[in-house]
Amino acid sequence: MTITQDKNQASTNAPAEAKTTDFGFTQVDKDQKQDMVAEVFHSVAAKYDIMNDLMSFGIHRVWKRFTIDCSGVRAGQKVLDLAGGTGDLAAKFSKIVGPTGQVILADINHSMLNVGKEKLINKGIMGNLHYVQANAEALPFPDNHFDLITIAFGLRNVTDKSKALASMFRVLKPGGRLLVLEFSKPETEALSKIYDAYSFHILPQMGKLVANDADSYRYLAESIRMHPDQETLEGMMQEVGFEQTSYHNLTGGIVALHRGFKF
Amino acid sequence: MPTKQIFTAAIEAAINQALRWANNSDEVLAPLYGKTCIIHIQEWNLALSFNFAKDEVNIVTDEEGLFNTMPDELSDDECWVSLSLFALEKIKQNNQITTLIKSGQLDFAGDLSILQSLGSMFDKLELDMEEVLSKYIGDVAAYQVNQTGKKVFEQANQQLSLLLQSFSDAALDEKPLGVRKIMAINFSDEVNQLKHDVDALEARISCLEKQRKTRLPKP
Repeated sequence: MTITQDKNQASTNAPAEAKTTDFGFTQVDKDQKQDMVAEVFHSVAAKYDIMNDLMSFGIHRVWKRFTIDCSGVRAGQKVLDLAGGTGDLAAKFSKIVGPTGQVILADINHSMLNVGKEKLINKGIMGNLHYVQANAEALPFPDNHFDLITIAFGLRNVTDKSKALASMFRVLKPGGRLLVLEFSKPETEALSKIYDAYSFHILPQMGKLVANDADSYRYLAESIRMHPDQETLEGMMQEVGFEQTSYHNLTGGIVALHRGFKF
Repeated sequence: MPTKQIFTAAIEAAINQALRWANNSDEVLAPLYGKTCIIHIQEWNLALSFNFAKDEVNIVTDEEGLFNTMPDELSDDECWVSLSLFALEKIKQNNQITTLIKSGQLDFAGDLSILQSLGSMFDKLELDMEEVLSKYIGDVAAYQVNQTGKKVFEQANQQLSLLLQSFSDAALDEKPLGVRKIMAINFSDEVNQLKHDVDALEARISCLEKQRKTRLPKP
């Protein structure tokens, strides 16, 4: 494993030819990031939901609800919930699209997918909901297939974000939309400082106490800082072909919801 | 902070909790399964979409503003109602319905039976609140709270039923603004029959014309 500890050199907008990418503040070989991210999520899968509630004080539910409200999804439509994790969005979409629609919960990590699958089956959500282990960079679906694609708190973990966005563009129907819910850049300096203190000092301690895993939550904080800011991500979406792109800051920009259409 | 989402989450949680407590939630939700009722509140310019699953209701706000005006297209499983909060009282009076629609305070599209089923869902829901409350505050207190609650609930329910009944009667019977499905089918049958008759008449006329031409003496 090649690891280069260099905060300054790490960049999410690295040229396509670059052989390294960021893993938090660390530079690693592109081939290795996927396995390293997988390790993180294997480790946190069991405590993922409870940690989400604790870390965000429950606000992640409101962010996800806002995403659903921006989806414009109707009965009978096809929805892909990418990096769907424990299935919060997929559960809701499954009920909205109804028996004539279809929802696919996809995640590259089988531990997360298993936790999601078990949770949703226990809730009685079945029928129109299917589970697929898939890499966002090479989606195993036909062209022009989905009315809506969502990826919530997943894009920053993808090795090649542009490739993943292009793959999403391919499988989206003309007229369909992509919603990217992801941590972003706080709008004010004051909030940024408070947020930094919280995520670098309190978050890992919380992870250690609840999930017995401080490192994974340190990675979470670092990966958020390395993720493209609002404008950059919007530009990346436009580059792969998305139109009418926009973003909406939530909780002072700590999280942003990006939206783009395929026409 | 998205306040609309917090507001709808609270309503949704309250309705779904009531459905879980009720003895007959499956029965009352059955006619609504897979259907959507979109209610646009004019003062807030806010459309709430009530999506009915097998065992719960999901409420979605319309961030796009797609349902702030009458939608161009609604499926058979959708109903859209736009109303003014100030019109709620007037809706109870049948003779006001047309005025309200003309003044833009009330409008609807799609399958009205979905709205009626939504109304009757609350009407038919069998909530044994006394049993639920007795677990937390004891039998006597639960009985007293339940009696008071029942009175309030019955009154609210009565008002809602009246409102929906008045709305339905006025739209379908008194002022024929809405069309029942059977009426549409009958109309369609009549149009088809008329088309058939016209085609037959046309064929007959052309036949007669041909006969006339053949019988005319050549010059």
